[in-house]
Amino acid sequence: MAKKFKNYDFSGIPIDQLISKPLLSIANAQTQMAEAQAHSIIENCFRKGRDGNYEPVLIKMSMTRSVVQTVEGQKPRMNPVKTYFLVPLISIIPFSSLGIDTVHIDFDLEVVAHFSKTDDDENDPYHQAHPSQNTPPKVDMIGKVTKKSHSQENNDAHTSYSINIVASPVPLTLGLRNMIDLYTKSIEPVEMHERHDTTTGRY
Amino acid sequence: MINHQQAMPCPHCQQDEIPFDVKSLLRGYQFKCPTCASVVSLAPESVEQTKTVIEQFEVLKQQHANV
Repeated sequence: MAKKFKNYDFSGIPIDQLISKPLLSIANAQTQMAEAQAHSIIENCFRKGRDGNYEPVLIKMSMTRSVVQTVEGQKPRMNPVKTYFLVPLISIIPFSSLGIDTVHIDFDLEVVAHFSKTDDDENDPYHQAHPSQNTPPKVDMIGKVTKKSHSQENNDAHTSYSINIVASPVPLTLGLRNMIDLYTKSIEPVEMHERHDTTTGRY
Repeated sequence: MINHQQAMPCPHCQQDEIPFDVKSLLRGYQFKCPTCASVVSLAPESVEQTKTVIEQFEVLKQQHANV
């Protein structure tokens, strides 16, 4: 996925904001995506029990295996035996985490103003850490996005500030992976009753 | 990670893992344990529930892709 934002007027914005704002926006987008997925997992793969705790939603699976049956005087026969077992739904859903993989922020910058602060503030963290040294002057720069060289060739009068975002599958979070592992490893034979409560979906 | 390579421990022998694909399970496919040859499949009564949840996740994924 790639998105381009163009034709914005970036005149006189502190340079650190020019750089950091798109990154913050991307981090916020990533957070929203993660929250939506977490909400969906809780909504679909768990249900709130009577005690207020979340319980995994279970689905029914069947297992068929052949059992050799021997009857005296007859040839041994292979009989299929079907067993039902319950599996947490979360352990079979193919989760994927779609995340922003790479971001290219591309713009040409023109510094329109800069100023330095030379006040040696006692509260300055650098001054507190290095009391014997003079506080280096702080320089703030105001910049604006300028026309890109190739834009000039195309007679494009607008400034260009492009952000290319590439979203791709990213590793599942450790917590979710551990949870899936935990539920998957807990799949083992347990004797169950044939009763199925259709209102709660429980077996 | 997309856990495409899904597997569950064999409920019978517990010796090996049964690789499966959830979309194939929904279509009624069965998957066999490489060690004890037990075959697992999704029970018909759970197909609809599983399908609904997977569809919801697909929609969510599409929404993210269009952000």
